[in-house]
Amino acid sequence: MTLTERIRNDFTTITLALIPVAIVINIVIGQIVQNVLKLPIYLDSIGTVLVGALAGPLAGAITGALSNIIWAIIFSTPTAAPYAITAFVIGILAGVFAARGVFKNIVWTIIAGLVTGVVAAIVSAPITAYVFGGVTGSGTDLIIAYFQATGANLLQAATIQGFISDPLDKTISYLVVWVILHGMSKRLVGQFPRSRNVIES
Amino acid sequence: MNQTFFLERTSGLHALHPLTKLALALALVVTAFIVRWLFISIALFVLLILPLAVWGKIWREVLHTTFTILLPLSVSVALVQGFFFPGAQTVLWQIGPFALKQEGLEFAFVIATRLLVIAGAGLLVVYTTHPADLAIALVQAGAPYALAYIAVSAIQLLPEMQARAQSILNAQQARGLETQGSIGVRIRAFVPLIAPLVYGALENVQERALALDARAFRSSRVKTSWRELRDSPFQRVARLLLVAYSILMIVYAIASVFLFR
Repeated sequence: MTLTERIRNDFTTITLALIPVAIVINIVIGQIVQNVLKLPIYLDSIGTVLVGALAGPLAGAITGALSNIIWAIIFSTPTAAPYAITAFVIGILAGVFAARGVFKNIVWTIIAGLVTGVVAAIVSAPITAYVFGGVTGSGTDLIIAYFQATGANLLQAATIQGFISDPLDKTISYLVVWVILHGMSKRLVGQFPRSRNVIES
Repeated sequence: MNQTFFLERTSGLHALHPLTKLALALALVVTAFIVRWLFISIALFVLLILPLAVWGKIWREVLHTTFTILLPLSVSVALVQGFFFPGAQTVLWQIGPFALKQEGLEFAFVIATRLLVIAGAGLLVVYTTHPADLAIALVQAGAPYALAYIAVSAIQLLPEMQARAQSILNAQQARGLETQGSIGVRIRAFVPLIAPLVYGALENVQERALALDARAFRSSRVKTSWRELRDSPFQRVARLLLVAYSILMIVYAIASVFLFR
């Protein structure tokens, strides 16, 4: 199958219906975690990973990137938009890992989440360093200050800061998606183009 | 969190074609990043973004939002980079083992004013353009129609889902779910809050897919739009120039990294 065919097969009507819902899941869960439960993680890519698993890498990537852009538009925070690049990469990775069957096994789910977190930290670091000068206006800024004081340059400090938060965040996101996928009825899963990522045919 | 996007007013800026505003925002951000002059971003903000915001009758909101977003970031970047910028030499002020250095403060100033331009330029577009108009403009410029559908329906769906999240929160709290207190308590509250939300939303997906098929969404015929965009030859030329300028600036920046080292 060529790449264009593969993409056309992934973008069925149910995929198009799923993506906006997943974008809203990203935003609303992100808000619940941040504003209601006040937990020290983001968990704003659950919808992205879910779409990657059910509808392939490109669909996941679009979900991620649009989530950040729509977040920037709706809450008038244009500073959220640069991280659309990270969200895009997370969607690609989730799709690729899911195609390898990681969501059929909880140990592989955790490993894939860790790897996604490491890659997300590496992709985010230049954005944090060169667009935001290393700061996010939160407690992690102290980490940047500490590593710069001990001799790291800005990019290194931003990467280390990412390594502290991203792998945990993405591992939990992958586990939540694992729970969601295995709690869905097989009839529902079967409607999505990549249902074989989750259930044996 | 309340939504504050698109302020429906009558102004010249509101009447511009969405792509004209996007091209303008792109040119502003590109200039802020590439021109190597300490005061370029603050000059762009004061001399271009603020007058445009006054023209668009949105200057109050632009000022208010940029400052609420940027104040904590600016304070943080000034402290972190003022004291710990790698390689800074010129000490301005010594406090115990820490020294406030000029190079660090200059870097912090560049970052903070650049963010001011990113936020200001973005808000000029967001506050004066209906999201549906933006989507239509992108489709007319060649973006896939599905992308516009996804973006617009996500924006419409969000308030609905936020309301559902709120009623789930109320219902679970009425059953005795604790959402405050120690971190363990708050982590345990996560699943009871999001499980009903996610499974409810996934049921919604099937209904949406049926509705799309029933309306022949996948038909390849060109779709007409209820909304109409106004455009003018002058704006077309202006857009072309702004985009060409941005591309040239980016090419120049990349070339200067590789050629003039």
